[in-house]
Amino acid sequence: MWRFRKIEPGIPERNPREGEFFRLTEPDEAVVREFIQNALDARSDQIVRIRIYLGEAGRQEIDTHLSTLTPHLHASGFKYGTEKVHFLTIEDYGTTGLDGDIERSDSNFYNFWWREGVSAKSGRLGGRWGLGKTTFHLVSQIRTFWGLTVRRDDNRKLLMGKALLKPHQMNSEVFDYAGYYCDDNWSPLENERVIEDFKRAFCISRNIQPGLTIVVPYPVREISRTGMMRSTILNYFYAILAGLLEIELGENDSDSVILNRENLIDEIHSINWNGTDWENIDVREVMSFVRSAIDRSELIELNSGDTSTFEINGNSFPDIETLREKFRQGDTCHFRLPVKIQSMEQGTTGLDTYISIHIRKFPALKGPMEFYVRSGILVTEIKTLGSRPILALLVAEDEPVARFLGDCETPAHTNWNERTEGFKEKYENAVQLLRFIKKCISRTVSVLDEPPRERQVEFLKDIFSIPIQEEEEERRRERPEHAPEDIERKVPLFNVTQMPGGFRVHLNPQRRNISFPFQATIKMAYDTRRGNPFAQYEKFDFDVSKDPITITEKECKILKKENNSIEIKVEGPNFELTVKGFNLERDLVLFAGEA
Amino acid sequence: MKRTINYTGRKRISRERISISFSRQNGSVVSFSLSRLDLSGLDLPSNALISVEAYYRTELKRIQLGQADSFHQILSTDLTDMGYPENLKFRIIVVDPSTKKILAYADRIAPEEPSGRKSILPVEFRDLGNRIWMITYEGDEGSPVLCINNRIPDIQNIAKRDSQFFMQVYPCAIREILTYMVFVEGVESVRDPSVDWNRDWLEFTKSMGIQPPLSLTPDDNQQFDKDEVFKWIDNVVEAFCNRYSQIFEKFVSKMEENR
Repeated sequence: MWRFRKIEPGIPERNPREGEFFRLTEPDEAVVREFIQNALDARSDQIVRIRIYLGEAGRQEIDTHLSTLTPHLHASGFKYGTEKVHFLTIEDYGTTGLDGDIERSDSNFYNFWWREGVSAKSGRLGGRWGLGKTTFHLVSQIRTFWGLTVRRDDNRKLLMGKALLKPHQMNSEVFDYAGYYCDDNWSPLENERVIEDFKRAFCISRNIQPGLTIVVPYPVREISRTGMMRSTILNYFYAILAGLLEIELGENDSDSVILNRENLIDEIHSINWNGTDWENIDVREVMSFVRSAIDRSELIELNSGDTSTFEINGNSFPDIETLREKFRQGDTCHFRLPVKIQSMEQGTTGLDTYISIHIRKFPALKGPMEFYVRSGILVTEIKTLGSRPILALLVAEDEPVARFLGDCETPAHTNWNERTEGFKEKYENAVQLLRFIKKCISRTVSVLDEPPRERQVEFLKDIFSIPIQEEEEERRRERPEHAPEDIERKVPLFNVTQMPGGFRVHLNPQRRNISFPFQATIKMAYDTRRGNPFAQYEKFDFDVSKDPITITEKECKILKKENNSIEIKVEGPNFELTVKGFNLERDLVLFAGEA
Repeated sequence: MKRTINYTGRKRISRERISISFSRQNGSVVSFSLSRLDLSGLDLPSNALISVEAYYRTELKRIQLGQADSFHQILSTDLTDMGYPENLKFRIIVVDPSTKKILAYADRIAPEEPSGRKSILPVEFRDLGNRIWMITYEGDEGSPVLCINNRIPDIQNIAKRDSQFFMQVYPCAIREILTYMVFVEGVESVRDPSVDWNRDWLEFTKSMGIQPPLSLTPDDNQQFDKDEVFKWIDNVVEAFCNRYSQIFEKFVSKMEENR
């Protein structure tokens, strides 16, 4: 039966506040993250299997387990449907179950049911915040859930339930907000008949296999099988691909879907990701990247210097130029970053440990996809890559570093927070080391993604380019073999004739109506491979006023000759100007025109 | 009028007679092939020596192809020992074996690109001190190169994707290049510029529907109109910005977010 503690006179009434920590995430995501993380923590087999089932039952079918709660719900102001009872059942297999002493102790069982805001978990274990289980209350419209566990240590089957309502009054008695589904001594139920009835009512698969089953009655409306499938993949794709986790999702009478290491990449492709961070992303490609990181056995060791500098620079990489080239070409780069964890406890020595970093340029992305994984869980709020289109994965699985990061993880496992109480007192250089780990992907990318030194001919081809074909056709159009007759071509004023060592300028006989005298300019320069040859003229090339350049003129006056320019006054139709003395091994460019 | 006098009388091998292409592995240039070199009708002596040069700035690799009457095409020549194979241009030289005089040549040959588009603004990432970008004229024939400061984190991504960088840098770069092209270099013919990069950039402006003025030669007193040239440059910049109106919208959104 459901039991609530009476509040005696002199004891304050208090509403539950635990939910404040968990308002950030969606219900689908919150329940999936919390349950699976606890399951991974309690892993006893190589692989943890999770069964998620959304079902419904007639009220009378479950009345045995709910009837004694109903008056408390009414007194607390909770409203819910009366005919059909929807429920969410989540089970884990391959775990220890809620083991340990059921009386006051540091056991998993006691902590789970009786402690709030206290965690017994440590080390490589993923979920360590005692507040996390509040999620199961928050996803129930009546703030209630049951837990059935089969314990690996003693094979006992234990059923309990917990509700977090409000302080409420019934028949002049005031009750606390927290109530338990338990026996008269506040202990779990072990009655085989009650447990079998409970299993039947809520479609529970478990028989004697160790593990935990959570049943949430009246789940909030946002909970759906599709949503939980997407949330499971979004948060646990790493654990599934790593072979740590297998998920089965079912709903009423429809067929179940199983997600595992073998089929995840195929299944993921058929899911509608609209409205999620994975919308319009080639998720199959992303998962293949993660899979390649998991399967990679050879990692390139980075040299991160001594523990006091915490720096990644070009010297941290062996053969940096080759790695840069690989990275630029879109190859995945796999690194092992050694770190040392030094506890503040006296007499302890530093522990050598490592994290692995996997990065790949992925130009099709609109922004980065960076994943930080500790002990199989995705820590979702760490973002360091700005807008770079890069796939990145940091994995902290080795025990010392997993413990270090776990000690500063936020309650909902979304970040590593250096201000976590007691964290910086626990490790030497805790804050510096944490910052270094959180930024190591960004630093690695910055070093590898340094722009290449050579000229990038096609870097802006998308913006600044012209079509090759059209260009050639255009040229052909603009240069017909025979000029159209109806276009009157401007007849040049001068003709230039090549001579040994120089040239001769004279009037074009086809040009009519020239009025004399007129002034003109002749400019010369040796041709150059690049740029405008006149602009690149140097006085050491030649000087028309000095040897060996010689000038002879006819029917003209030289007004000025200096450097590479001659100014003349043309006085008659037989005008000629001959300039000689140039270097015969170089091409000469000249301009002749009216001044 | 402008005229070039070729005292040594060497012949020009036109681009249509040559076919050069790169081979790539994982996107990087590893070798090149000269699959076609047609010297027929150029009246070259049968014993003239033919070579092809791959070059970029001061780096050069020369491959001898043999005599004019018996030279061979090359199907694959390794370029992995070159520092910047992406930037290589090619030159064909035909030399008289006794006098070493160049008899015929072709220069600045870019490998054929399968994509059908030609990039006209190369980029270099350099340390520019406190400047974000600048244009240098250090490309082929003094063509423009956009230099971007490599000290800016994530600059490659920013240069390609950031709407603020895009809208504030690229229109200015176009304005600077066209201004330089006209007022510093001078384009001696709008219809048929002799300098390749002038032709490319005029083509680029035309591709945006903006026709150039009659003259882009400041020395041309009769037809050059400075105001008209400035208006043309303005129109090109405006057309470019209009082409990327979506990026402008992003730029505006970003500015509003930052307020």
